[in-house]
Amino acid sequence: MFDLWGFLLQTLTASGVAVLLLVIKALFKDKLPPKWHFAVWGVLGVMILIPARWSGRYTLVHWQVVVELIKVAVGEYGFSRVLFPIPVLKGIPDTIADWIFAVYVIGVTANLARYLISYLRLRLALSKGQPASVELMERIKSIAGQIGVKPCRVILVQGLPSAFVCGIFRPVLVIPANEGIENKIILHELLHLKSRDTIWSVVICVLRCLHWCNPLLVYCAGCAANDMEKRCDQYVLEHLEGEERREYGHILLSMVNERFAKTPGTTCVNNGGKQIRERIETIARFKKYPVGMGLVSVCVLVLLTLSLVIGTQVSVSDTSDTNPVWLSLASARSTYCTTPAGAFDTYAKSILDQNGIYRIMCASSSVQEEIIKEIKEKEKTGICPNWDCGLNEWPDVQSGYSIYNLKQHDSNTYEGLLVVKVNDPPDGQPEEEGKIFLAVQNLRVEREDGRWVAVPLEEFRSIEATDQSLEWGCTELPGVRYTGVVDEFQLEVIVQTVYTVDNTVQNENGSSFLFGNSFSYDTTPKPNVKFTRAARIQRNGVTHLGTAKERDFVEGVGLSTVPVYPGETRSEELASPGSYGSGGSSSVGENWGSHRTEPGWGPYLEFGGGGETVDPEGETVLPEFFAADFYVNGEFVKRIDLYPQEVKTDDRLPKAI
Amino acid sequence: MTDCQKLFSGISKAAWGYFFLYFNININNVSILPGFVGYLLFLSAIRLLKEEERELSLLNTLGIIMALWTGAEWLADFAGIRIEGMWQFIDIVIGLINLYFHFQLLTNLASIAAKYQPEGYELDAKLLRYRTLQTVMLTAIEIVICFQPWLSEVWTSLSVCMMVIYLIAGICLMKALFDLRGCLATTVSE
Repeated sequence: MFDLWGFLLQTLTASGVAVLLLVIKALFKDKLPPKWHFAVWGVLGVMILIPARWSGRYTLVHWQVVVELIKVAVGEYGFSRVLFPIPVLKGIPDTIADWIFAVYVIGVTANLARYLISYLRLRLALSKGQPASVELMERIKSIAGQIGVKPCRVILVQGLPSAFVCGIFRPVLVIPANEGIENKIILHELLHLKSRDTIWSVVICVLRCLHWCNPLLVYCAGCAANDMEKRCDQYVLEHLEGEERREYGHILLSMVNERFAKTPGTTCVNNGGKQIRERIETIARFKKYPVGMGLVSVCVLVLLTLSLVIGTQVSVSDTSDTNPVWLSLASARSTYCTTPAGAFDTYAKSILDQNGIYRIMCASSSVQEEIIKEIKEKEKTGICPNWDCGLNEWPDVQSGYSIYNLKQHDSNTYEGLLVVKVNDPPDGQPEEEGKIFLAVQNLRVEREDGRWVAVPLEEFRSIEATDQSLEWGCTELPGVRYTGVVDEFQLEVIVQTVYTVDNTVQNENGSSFLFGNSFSYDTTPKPNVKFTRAARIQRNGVTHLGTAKERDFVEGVGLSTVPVYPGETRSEELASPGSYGSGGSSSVGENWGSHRTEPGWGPYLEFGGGGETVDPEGETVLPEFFAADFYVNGEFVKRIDLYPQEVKTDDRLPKAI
Repeated sequence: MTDCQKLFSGISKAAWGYFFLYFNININNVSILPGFVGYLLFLSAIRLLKEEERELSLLNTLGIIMALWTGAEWLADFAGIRIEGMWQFIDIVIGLINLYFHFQLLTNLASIAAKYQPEGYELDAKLLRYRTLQTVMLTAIEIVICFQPWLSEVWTSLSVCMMVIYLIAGICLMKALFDLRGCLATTVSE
């Protein structure tokens, strides 16, 4: 926890769990054994030590919305995140929130120091203790033998109201020197020794210090310590018979120990009146639990722990525009993208839906303030849409979007070209049959503070393209170009990759007996989605580099290519391009084609190509080079290798192929 | 009503209660064998059997909670709303109550069986076996539901497999309870 917001998120999450545990403990108060009632606090311990929203999911209540509401209200727009549950001051406090966090950290340190001093004071008192008599040691050894525990060192100390065990590595059984001690008390303390409760007392103490300013968690720490005692009471009662059990209750009343209350590394708890009463009530309810109770106790604990640790997926519906804008904004800042595809999808939906709230979900911290202010301003004035996404035309929502040429730079950065279809030609251009207009934008998706954010690398550009399915590539959009020159011909293979997410959704009332179900494009962002489809498409082409007069002597051109991936060797045999007008492709990516030229052709001649779907989750591997056989006028000319051209900044921009 | 008649009636209601819980026939998403009827039968069984098994009275509050929750679910189904999974807090509480309720109920029913079954019958041991199996299966089902987002590829086959085992265990459990009811019917007629 580096700031107040991280601490708030952590302590609120733990508070929700604490309330749940108190409710469950109340429901199972007289049903499950004291051992379970103590063990269940371990769930709270685990939740305090696991960073809140460690996997992007939340536990019980989506507290981050509350945190983001407060945060934006005080003018802070950075991301909240809990990396680990220990507070660390990163520098000199700057804002009010930083100062409050500094006070909290000082509180943690002061509380730890207080307990340390208390422990040292106790050790000092113990150093003045006397060793136990031989007779007492024999009694203790006999009781220890009954419960199968190795007896520890025993000392007698003057002025103590009750016995306790102290120390983790070399525990000592401390007994009041001024009065005789009952065997039941020795048994109780030896059971603490057997259960290594001094370790648990240290754990409880540290967790109490970490959340010293949260009264609910401090209360739970007290309950946990008391449940530790009740567990030992249960063990003792199981070893006693009839009247002895009643006597044990009387003895408890005399064990109030306020002097070293809650000292870590000991089994001294603050045995105040209320806690003693609770323990006596538990003794009154004493029963031996049936065989098999252990099974249900463990099952309940396992279920509880797993449900809380795994948590709940954040629902995007909280960002709906039917909510007040302040709530939608806080929800959007709390609903972040957990996958790169999720960030691409959320950004694309913010464009398709012209929705700034969606943009907030995938915007980097540096632009959050700007977008939030724009949305609030437009909300006030009633301008719709609530955010200027940079698109001049209305997008064709039902056509969705595609990500072209997705490239992973490292484990934290991806780049790709976002392609959406727009409804009208840009700048009032006339519509043309068989043509569509695309808006494209290079986009980087990167990891920032544990979430994936989308960073546009340029303004939207308009592209006129032939009407086609964008899922199988687009000749007007860029790809990786593999080229090589043979005489006056430049041979070329363009490779595109297209990634998409399945966003089709069945319309609720769209079923018809005659026409079946109807579907539409879901514009709700999917911040945790993975790409559901990926395709690799290639197109072959030849450009004549000479003059138009020289081209007149070319009556036909043929080209066969095969991709060679890293680690593979070049194939010796390539398919023949066949007679003029023929062509085809194979499952290994081999492409061939042969064209008869028309008078006045060129300089570019396209051969078509092929494609295949690839694993959308796998790494995008492009061929190292293409092996190509080139034919002119039906005769083989040369076999060459086509290598990818270095991509310059300008090459990012779409250009006609 | 004599003690024997109370026992007979109590065990009958518990057996029919499980019938309502295990079988689910829906018409337009609304169950015609609603779970809350099962819990009302369990509550009635608890009232009849608590003199025989004192610990059954521990289940009263939990039974009422379960009856209210399953009743609310059934009403919500009418309105086309699915309330299960809406609030994690309630889902966890209900899941744990469900686990404990059936464990304790079957433990007590096995204890009654041990006292009243004729010699040579092993209905108590059977009930305890089915109780353990049911507890393990309920836990396993909840765990699998927790991990659902990561089990999408095997989700269908896994859930069908678990449901089949759970249903078979349920049918065996009901058979054991109806057998016990048969034993008690003989005692009542005598």
